[in-house]
Parts: sequence; C-alpha cells; structure tokens
Amino acid sequence: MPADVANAVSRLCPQADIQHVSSWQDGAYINATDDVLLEACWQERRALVSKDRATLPGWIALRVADNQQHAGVLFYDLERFKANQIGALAKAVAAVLATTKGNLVNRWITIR
Amino acid sequence: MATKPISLRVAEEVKLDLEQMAKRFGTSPATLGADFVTQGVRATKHPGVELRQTPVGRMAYIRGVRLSVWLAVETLEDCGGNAAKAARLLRLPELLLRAALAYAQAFPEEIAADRAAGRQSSEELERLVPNHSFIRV
Repeated sequence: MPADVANAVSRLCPQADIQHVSSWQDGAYINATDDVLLEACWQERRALVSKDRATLPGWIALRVADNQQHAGVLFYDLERFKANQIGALAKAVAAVLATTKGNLVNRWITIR
Repeated sequence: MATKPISLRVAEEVKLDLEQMAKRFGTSPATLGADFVTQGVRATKHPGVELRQTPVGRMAYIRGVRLSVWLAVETLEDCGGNAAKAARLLRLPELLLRAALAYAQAFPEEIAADRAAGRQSSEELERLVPNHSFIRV
C-alpha cells in the first residue's frame, strides 16, 4: 500500500505499529520478493497489507503447503479503492484492525 | 508469435548447466535457451524492469522495488493518466515509472494477463488457500 496510507493508518490507530515497507527495518525489504517478505513478517508477527492479489495468494498457498504459518494478509479490492483514495483506504484498514482486534495470524482477508 | 532459428556457441559448462536446468523445468535446452535470450534482450531494452518468478508465472516488476508493472499501470489509470501524480503516490522517480509504462506498451498482452491474475474471483482465491474472508467496510 502507499506510504501515505501507512501514515494515515498510524494516525487512526496509534496503538498499532504500522510500518511501510520502504522504512521498515531501514528499507531492508523494499525490493524483497513476496515469499521473503511473508517470512520476515511472520518473524515479527506483522500482518501485510497489499493490493497484489495476483501473486501473494500463491505465495500464501505455498507457505501453507510447506506447513508454515503467516502473520496475516489484508488485501484491498482494486475496484473499491483507487490508488489515490488514501483516506478511505486508511479508514478501511483501521476498521479491519478494530473488527479483528489485530488477530490476523493465518488469516487472509479481502477488504471491500 | 512467429519465431526464427539462430545458432549460438556457448562454453561447454554453460551447455551442461542449460541441459540440467531444462530437465528440472521439464522443457528442452533449446526452448529454455531461447527463453533466456528473450529475457536478456528485454532486460537490455528495458533496464528499468526486471522479470521475477512468481507462483503465477514470470512477472515484470519495476527494478529495485516491490511494485509490479501491472500495478504501476493500475495506479496511473487511477490517477487519470497523470504520471507525475502516480509517481508521487508511489514514491517513485517519474522516469522509472515511465520506463515501466514503456514496457507495458511494448508487451500489452503480458500486462493484460497479469492484470487479469490480480482480479481472481473470490471462489478462485478460496480454492487456492482456505481461511479467506471478506470484510465490507
């Protein structure tokens, strides 16, 4: 998700530790492949927010097939949230965090 | 796509490596070699884009970041075709975004297929991995 969305979610959910991949761990994962990022997120029990429903579901499936867990993935619908709808998307992510109480391990959720 | 034959000479160890890789990929050395040549030509013509292996096949990404070319195209469309606005949103140099768009224009069918993969139905996603859910906000 865009860095502006991460910042907006942080403001809406100050109790949650929200990081954009460009700054998380000093940008170590800015060019990481999805499988590497999923593992890094799992190590920190950090859910991933993305709109990439092309490749991420396949990587999740491979983790499940390897009997590995993941820390949760939130997808947002491309038609529902246009790239420049920063506020709407931030509110939606915040609403999901509230609904799930942050319990996202091994869950993958599409936000509509 | 129409193809033309060419003849190449490579070091013996390269030929052996290619044969072993082709066996692993379940294809012929000639087919895999042609694929490698095609990738090399593309990488030379489009240095701002790199091809990565994903669970849905090879996909074009903007070099140096986690953004696929098809998502860059989507973002540009969401921004009404304004490349400067899309680049700001993505925090990318505009020239790098334009390089990705040039790739998308050169290979429209490939990018269309990637976009289609990003719009898998909920049933397809659920079949892929259980425990998927929707939250409407």
